[in-house]
Amino acid sequence: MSTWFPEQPKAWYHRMCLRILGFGQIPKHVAVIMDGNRRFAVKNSMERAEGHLKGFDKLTEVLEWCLDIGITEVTVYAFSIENFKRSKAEVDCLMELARKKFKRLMEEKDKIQEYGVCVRVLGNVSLLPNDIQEIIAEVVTYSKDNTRAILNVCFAYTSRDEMCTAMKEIAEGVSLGLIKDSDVSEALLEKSLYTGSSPNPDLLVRTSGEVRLSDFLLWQTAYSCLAFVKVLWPEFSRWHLYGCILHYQRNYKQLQKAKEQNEADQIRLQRENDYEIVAQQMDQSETESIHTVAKQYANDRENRVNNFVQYLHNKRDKFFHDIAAKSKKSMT
Amino acid sequence: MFEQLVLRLIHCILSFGVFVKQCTSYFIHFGLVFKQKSSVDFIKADARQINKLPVHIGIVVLEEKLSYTDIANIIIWSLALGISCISVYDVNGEFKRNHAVLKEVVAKKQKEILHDESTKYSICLHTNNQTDLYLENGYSNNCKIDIQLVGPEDGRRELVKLAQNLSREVATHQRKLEDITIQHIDNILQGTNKLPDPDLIIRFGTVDSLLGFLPWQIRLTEILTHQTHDGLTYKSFISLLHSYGDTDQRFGR
Repeated sequence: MSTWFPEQPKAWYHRMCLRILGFGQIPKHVAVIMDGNRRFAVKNSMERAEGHLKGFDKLTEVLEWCLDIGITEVTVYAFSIENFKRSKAEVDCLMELARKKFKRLMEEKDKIQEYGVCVRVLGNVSLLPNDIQEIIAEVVTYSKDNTRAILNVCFAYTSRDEMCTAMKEIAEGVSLGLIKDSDVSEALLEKSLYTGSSPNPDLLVRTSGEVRLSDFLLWQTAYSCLAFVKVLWPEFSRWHLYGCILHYQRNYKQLQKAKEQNEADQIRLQRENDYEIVAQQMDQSETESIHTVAKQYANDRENRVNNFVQYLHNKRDKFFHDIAAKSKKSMT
Repeated sequence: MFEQLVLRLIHCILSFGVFVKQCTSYFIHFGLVFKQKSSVDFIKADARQINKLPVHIGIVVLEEKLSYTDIANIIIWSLALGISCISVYDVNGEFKRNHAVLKEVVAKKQKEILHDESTKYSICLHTNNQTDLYLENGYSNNCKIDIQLVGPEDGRRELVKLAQNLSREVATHQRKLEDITIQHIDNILQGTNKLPDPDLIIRFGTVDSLLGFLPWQIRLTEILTHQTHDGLTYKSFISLLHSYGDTDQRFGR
């Protein structure tokens, strides 16, 4: 069965292109919608399952090309919650593929460590069959401390579901008294998403020529460069990837400007918010200046928010940890 | 040094390619500019030629220079085509702030393009979910178009506000945690006007991004790009709608 680490040789012209691209900005985090496996299967008159398998093989290749370029984080859309609506046969086939591939990944433990890959699975994992949850939990807990390369697999994911879950977590945090409702900000909501520990993707690639986001990372890609490529995913080549990078480099300055503008707005809003709250709470008799009090307040708020984010992080870690522990127990 | 030069060169060649493409599309459209003054019947005939019309178009302008006249043109053409809703966005929320100016230009264009038929149509301009709602020529509700002016505060920040309100409600036991559902969030975000999600975004400018345009609402939206809205011809607009009409969506199936 095909490996997660294909290690293909690079030709001299690939190496030259990489050096050339290296002189521009390289995206750190790339998100990919791997669309077109089924159309590829129809086009080449193969079974759907084979199309999906080819799609998986392509993913392993692309991950390696990304590492070659210096892209250290990749987020892929493997399975949407909407995909459960497909025919039972196809859903089963996709689940079987996931089962096999995650198992295979655990068989390649040494490679995971060698490459230093951290694999995260983002989405409503509890919607998946139990045995798949167990394998996923095993992979996630095994690789969670690696930092050299990060692969986020969005599985049983939609962006709206993610935002809704984040809002629920925040509401719960507020009712538990971990944070105040006035602490809710763009930064907090962003960190409460499944992708909370990653920076937003710099570049989003969608293959097969469709020009939609299909409920994928809607919040996170608000300021990302979009590259819609007219090629079916199994036919995606190094050159397409290089093209996407060039496209990103051409857009980089303008994107950066918009991002900075948004960040400046966020900081301004946060400060205004802090001052407003402090002004409301302050006593007439208070001797300290409002600036000192506001600074202290901002400090406390940051602590609350950081603690809450940490709490959420631990909660998600624990979710996978518990499943992995349970499956180990049942095996022995 | 050598690599940097090559990279520069590649970027130059690409820019030149884009420029040439622009020029050719300009020449193709050049001969048809006169059609811009099309009558309503002409526009309606065009609407019948399109496989599938969007219900709600998002106009995302990512250019330094904003042209109110061209946006007004788009609004009036859409009105005559039978499109029922348009959102207009720019990164600085300038259209939203200057809604009075846009309103005036739209009124002028309405008379200019629709002539005596202009009274049959009504245009409803919203600058937010609730406030500042005003109607023009409200004689008939048969041909009505909602124009929603959108700024950066309506995107992520609107979701933040929503999360804040929901947290407050849950903390004070006015709402249960399980009541926070996608459906509920969607209902609140649709606001009082109950506008559907945009099914088509036309993005103007050279930046390939949406720069903060309504993240929640665009999950299934087709995103089409056009170099600039400045001087957009009727012909180009219709061809954008044709390319939208020819796509087919699978909704995850």
